[in-house]
Amino acid sequence: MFVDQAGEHIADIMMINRGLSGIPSASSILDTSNYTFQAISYGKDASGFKYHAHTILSPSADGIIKVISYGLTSFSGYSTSTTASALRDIYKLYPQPFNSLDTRLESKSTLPNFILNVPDLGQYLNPSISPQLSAYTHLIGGFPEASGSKYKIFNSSGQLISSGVLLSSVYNLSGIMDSSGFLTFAQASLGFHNIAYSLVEGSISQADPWLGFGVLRATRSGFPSEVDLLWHLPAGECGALNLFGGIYHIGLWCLDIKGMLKEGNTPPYSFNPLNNTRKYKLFAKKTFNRDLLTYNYSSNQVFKDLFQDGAGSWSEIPAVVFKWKIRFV
Amino acid sequence: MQLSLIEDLDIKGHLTISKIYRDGNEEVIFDDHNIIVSGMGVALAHLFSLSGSDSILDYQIDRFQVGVSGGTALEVSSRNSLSGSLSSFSEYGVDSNTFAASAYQIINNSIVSIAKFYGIIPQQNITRIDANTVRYTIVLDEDSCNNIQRGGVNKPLNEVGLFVKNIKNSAIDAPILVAYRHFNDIQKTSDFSLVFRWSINF
Repeated sequence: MFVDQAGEHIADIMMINRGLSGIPSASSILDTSNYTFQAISYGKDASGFKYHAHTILSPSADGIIKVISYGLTSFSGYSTSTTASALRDIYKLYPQPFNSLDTRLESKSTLPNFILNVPDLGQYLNPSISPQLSAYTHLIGGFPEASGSKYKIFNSSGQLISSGVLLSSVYNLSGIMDSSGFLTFAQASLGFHNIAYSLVEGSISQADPWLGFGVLRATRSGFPSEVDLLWHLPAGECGALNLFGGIYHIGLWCLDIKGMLKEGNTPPYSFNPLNNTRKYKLFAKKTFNRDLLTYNYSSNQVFKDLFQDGAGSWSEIPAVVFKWKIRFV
Repeated sequence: MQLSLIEDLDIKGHLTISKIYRDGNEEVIFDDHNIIVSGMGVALAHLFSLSGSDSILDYQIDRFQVGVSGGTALEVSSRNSLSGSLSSFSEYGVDSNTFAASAYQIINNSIVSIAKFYGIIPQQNITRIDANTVRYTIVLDEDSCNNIQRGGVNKPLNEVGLFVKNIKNSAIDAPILVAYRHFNDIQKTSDFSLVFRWSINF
């Protein structure tokens, strides 16, 4: 659903002074790409940032994502799992419902238990590419390192029941997500987006380079009544987010060009995952009352088989594919 | 059913029309909502898909048309043109302060390459009312749109529309209708100016 800020963004566009077109140094402000969708982010309930793999299990500095499973291997999808039963008495499990006045995915603090230098942005962060935070990726969450992240799963008695290495983070290998957790759109022409969309919407493999291109926007048969967005959450990212409590929110963001200009930050606003100077403004948000990464446990689909690298037969889920249709008419 | 951006944001408009006489007296003769038509969604879809013009100025509401064949039945979201828009520079007024321009028009997502005539809304007449609301003030002064005739008969003004400039980056601007309103007949004469204050809440 669209937030009020989306209307404000459109009103901002309507108010841009035509006189800027006659000023060469200001003409880059008028580039349409500055005003369209630029990023996707993921979130969950604010309280959840204190639980799941955010719980600090000793030792805390070993770089290993550690989580307690209250069932066989159920971490995410807790509304129906044994983990849910165990946690339900501790805190409210559901995300903040949609409010048109929202400016972020969760309005309450989303600081994890480990808080040193951690920004409170209302969503999952991607600390592994932040020089200040990378050593604590396993505590802050929610995305794995480019080389893959080690994990350990304990039962509620503290006994290790599973361990392994998550698949490499495609987002970080490809440099398409910044440390604040903003997944950028593919930096390419509409023609490229349309071709890529057609190629990847049917099937995708783990080695497919399309996984690392970022969000695609396409004009398909429904255009100009609607615009189609598509992106992937690769297996490594799925695994990590599953350990950290799953996905309950998705945010669609534009650039906060007014805010950036006010701070003297002028275009072009190229995306740099290591030093992203872009500021974003929430445009639309989708909230779910069920974790999108829920999976039905069976003996054939234990966690490691879904998301683990190495010896595990991991490849059952190369990626979760997201398709978001934005209706304009 | 998923709501469209127009429905979800509840984009709507409000129009007041006043006669202003030479002595400064103002008479409000119309005060009601308007119809946001599908062209608004089409324009925004072009913007957010990056499938249209590279200049954000081409997605702005910067012009209007008035016409003489309006009707209540025409106030539907699928409306994509005025029924009887003014058809020449001279009808907008040779001596008036209204700057008129000729351009093509987008109808059913295609550019119709027939010259249409528009009044341009000056930048200073576009004002921010609040965070989400923009007001467009259209002034048809004493020398504008007077004594319009069709078939030798005087025809009153009775419809008005707002247009977004040129979403398809056409070499000759091709505006698209985004808001429409029919109003009761006004026989425009040099005795008064007609002021349209049109607020769009995004």
